[in-house]
Amino acid sequence: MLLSVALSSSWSRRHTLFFIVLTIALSVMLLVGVEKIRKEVRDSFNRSVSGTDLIVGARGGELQLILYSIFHIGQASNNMNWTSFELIKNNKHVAWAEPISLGDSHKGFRVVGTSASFFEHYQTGQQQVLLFQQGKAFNDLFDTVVGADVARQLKYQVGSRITLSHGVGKTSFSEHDDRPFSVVGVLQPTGTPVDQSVFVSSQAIEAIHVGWQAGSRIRGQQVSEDEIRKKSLEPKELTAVLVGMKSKLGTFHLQRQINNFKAEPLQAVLPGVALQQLWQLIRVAENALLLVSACVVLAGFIGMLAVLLTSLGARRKEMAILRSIGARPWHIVSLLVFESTLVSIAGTLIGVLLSVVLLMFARPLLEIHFGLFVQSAGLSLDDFSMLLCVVLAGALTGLWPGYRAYQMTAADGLTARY
Amino acid sequence: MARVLLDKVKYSWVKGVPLLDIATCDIHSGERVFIQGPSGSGKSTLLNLLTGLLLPDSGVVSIAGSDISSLSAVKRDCFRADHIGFIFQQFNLLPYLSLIDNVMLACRFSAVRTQRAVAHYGSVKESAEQLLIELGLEKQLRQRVTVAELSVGQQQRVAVARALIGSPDLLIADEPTSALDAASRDVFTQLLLAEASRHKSTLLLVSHDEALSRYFDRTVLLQQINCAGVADVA
Repeated sequence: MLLSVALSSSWSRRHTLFFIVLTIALSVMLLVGVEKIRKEVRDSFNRSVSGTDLIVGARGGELQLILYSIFHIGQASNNMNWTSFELIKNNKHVAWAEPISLGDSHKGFRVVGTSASFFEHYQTGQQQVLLFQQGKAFNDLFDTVVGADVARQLKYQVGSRITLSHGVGKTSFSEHDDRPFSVVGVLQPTGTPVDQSVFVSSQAIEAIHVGWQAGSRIRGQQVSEDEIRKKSLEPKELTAVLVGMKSKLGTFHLQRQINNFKAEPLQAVLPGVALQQLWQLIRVAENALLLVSACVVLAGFIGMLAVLLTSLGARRKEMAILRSIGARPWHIVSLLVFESTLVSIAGTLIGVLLSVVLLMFARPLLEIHFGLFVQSAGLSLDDFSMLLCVVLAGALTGLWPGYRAYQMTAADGLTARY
Repeated sequence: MARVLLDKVKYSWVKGVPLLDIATCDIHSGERVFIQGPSGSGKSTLLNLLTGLLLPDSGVVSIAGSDISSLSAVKRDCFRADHIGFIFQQFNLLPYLSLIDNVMLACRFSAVRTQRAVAHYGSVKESAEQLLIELGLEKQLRQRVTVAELSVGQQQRVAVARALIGSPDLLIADEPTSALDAASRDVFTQLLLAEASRHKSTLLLVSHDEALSRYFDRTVLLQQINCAGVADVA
């Protein structure tokens, strides 16, 4: 019964309350936005590799291995021998093994030397295989398949001709411009580093380095394409191997075998474990981000507290009238709590709406500029419980002005003069 | 209708400095009494004692046979809602509610007054409308004017309607005419008295304005019944 009175009362002060609703809306928008992006970043990390049971590379840090082999961040300190790859591939527990050769680039995008079956075995997200939006996997030595971002940003399609650069910098002074490649396939977007990769065969990596030594072309040595094709292009080294096991049980056995491999120092890591480690690292920054947005929400509530406390002076008479007709002290308190709840709910709803609309518009931009693949602008169950906490905190904020109002009416009685 | 009895009522804001010390004050059921006292004579305190918002240090405040000073805080609030209609000096109305809602508000906290209003008029809304019409506010009611558009006198009449809805036993008015000019004051006072009689409510009007005393059955001078003498706490 007090509800309609409280509603009318709040409505009569809507001009003041509007701004506090706006403040809370903006802070909630920030909170939801940050939470959403936080979740998407985490998901995109977890999405980047799946279906791969082991990643093998030269011995070093586990984190480093996953960073350079999957995320294409940094470089391997050492390569591994091709013979080791063959051994792994032929192990009886291994279902498939795909080589990864890194070290070249194309206009800032990493070139990945692998085999054509990579596109069948590599999976992202929830066991999703790579799909082609155009063309097919490479077949010829000088064929290439490009990721979705590469194709979009450089406007490539099947039939485009590209050359690779030595090294992984954005600008390279040593171009493999004598060995052009033609694009035969464009992959569908996955929201993973695959989108920013240029795939060629391991043999092609070998081929473009024929006539090269220590990172530069040997002067005066011209090798024709036909000559290259006749050569044995079996690579001698590679950067990493992705392994799929026939049964999960064999994974640990093989991992131990590889880690104890005598011929060269290798290491095998479980992608899940390494991703977890990576996530631990990022979590600190992620939590700091959440903390900042929580502080913004807190600031919004302190603003509301100030507005409600200020309004009390002007509402003395209102309280006295209500007391005179028999309103109890808790009615007065609930009037204020109701108002803070109302403001919090309105602010939260508007904030959520703003964030959903904003995310909808920002989605393509986030994808293009940050490679952040926001799957949906909608809210999850976690978001709802977080928002419920926000509303609850807002409602509780009304308790303090409510208590002040109670004290005031107790002192004024029915004789508040203003 | 209610008899109001104050018996050996003492009250002091500051310990040892009594503000009110009333040996006895008996107001009969249905009586219309003018309580006159200058500023600072303890009128506000007396009103807060009568409405149960303050408790006396000692003594009995009895309304309609109930010793309200012995009731719990919640029961006193309920008692006030059920038995007392209160009219403030001014700014009696909630500006964000319509006239009719302002009047109906008094029934929101009292089942007793709601029942009575329904029994007499069929519904609380009908009751509020009838009261506003009785008080000469039919035009304003029909035109749905807002509280802010009413004159002070009209606002006070709406306040009377609110105090009277559900026919409470006791009507208390705290300087209700202080913001009115002499002519409006007389009209308002007569209207208030007529309505109190019509609804068979005991009427207590507190004011410093002795010109009002001629309309009442009896005038009580606060200084005379208050043995504590005059203090300057209001």
